[in-house]
Amino acid sequence: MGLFADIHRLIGERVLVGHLDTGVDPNHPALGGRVAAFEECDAIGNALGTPPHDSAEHGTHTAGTICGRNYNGINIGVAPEARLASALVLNGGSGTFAQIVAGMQWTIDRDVQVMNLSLGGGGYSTLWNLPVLNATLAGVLVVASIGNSGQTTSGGPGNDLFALGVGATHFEDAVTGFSGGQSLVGVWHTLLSPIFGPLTYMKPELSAPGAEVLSSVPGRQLAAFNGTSMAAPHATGAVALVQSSNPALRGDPFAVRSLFLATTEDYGEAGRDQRFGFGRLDALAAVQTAVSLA
Amino acid sequence: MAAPEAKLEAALRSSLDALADEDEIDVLVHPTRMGAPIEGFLAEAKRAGHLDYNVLKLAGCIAVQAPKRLILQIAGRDDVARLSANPRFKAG
Repeated sequence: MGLFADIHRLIGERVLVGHLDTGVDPNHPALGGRVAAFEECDAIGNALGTPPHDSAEHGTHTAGTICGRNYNGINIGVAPEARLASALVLNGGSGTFAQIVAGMQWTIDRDVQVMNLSLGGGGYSTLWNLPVLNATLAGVLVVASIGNSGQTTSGGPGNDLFALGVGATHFEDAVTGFSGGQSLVGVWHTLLSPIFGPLTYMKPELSAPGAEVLSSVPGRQLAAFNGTSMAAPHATGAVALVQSSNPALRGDPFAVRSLFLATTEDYGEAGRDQRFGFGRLDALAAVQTAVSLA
Repeated sequence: MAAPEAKLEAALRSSLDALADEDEIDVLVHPTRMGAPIEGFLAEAKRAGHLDYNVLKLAGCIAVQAPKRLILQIAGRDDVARLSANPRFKAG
């Protein structure tokens, strides 16, 4: 079968994406029918049962990059057939650990195949170890932004060992100045460290477009935003493409992670480095590889 | 048995120092094991309207919103290993 014999299968069909953010505007024309489920969590993680809405603009923007459709002649989404289980965990732009973890749990309970966390901060924290590892063991790849404080920095959960941390590139395929990335040296992991001792590893895993990214915002508008927040949903959308093109890869976050790291386009220093990770996301190469494995 | 204060993460201890007994704060309670009697205690206190809580299975801890005096009471329990702040994260 040719790569494009069934285009719907290749643009995210039947993939449910967990979206942890400021909410989402379900009435944006680019997101019509894309929001399959919605929940809002309070500061200690209680579900509030509010109808879908965006408490800011950020969530509608990241949602558009994951699965937005053509709007005003512009294709804004990477996987326009994918759908969202969207959890409002950053009320007005920030949220507590409990709020975010409750949202992660809620998306897992909805049977998402991948989750996007365009959020973070605070350097490395073992607090993220259990939620990220448990989500991974539940078969869900955790994709997270690496942070916007520049080189030699990173934020959790993107810098957790089991998260797919994503940095930001601009239109010339160079890493943006704000994009995080560093070697984490001698850090402890709640579950692994007693066996392996302190860990040393490099972040991010890969980079994706994160400068002047045009996507949906509330009020039927499009706007260009900058940030690793904008880069992570490109990777998440690409994961949805891979999981729709080869359903055997759903529920296998380790295989999907390996596939993406093997298909990035290498920029900067040869091999892995602290700016690009393994390289810049190459969604077409990832899908071609996924199809060849089917 | 560790003293209640010894179970408080440093950042949480300084936050609590700034509060009066009835001031509310939300914290993460790390039980010695999930399902320990602490959940029964919290359920009872919630029914009485003294606090609110949510079990975060994914993270192996319990988010609790309660007055300072109750937080210190929770810290004193044998089935609680430690308490930490409920930190905030930003979009970005």
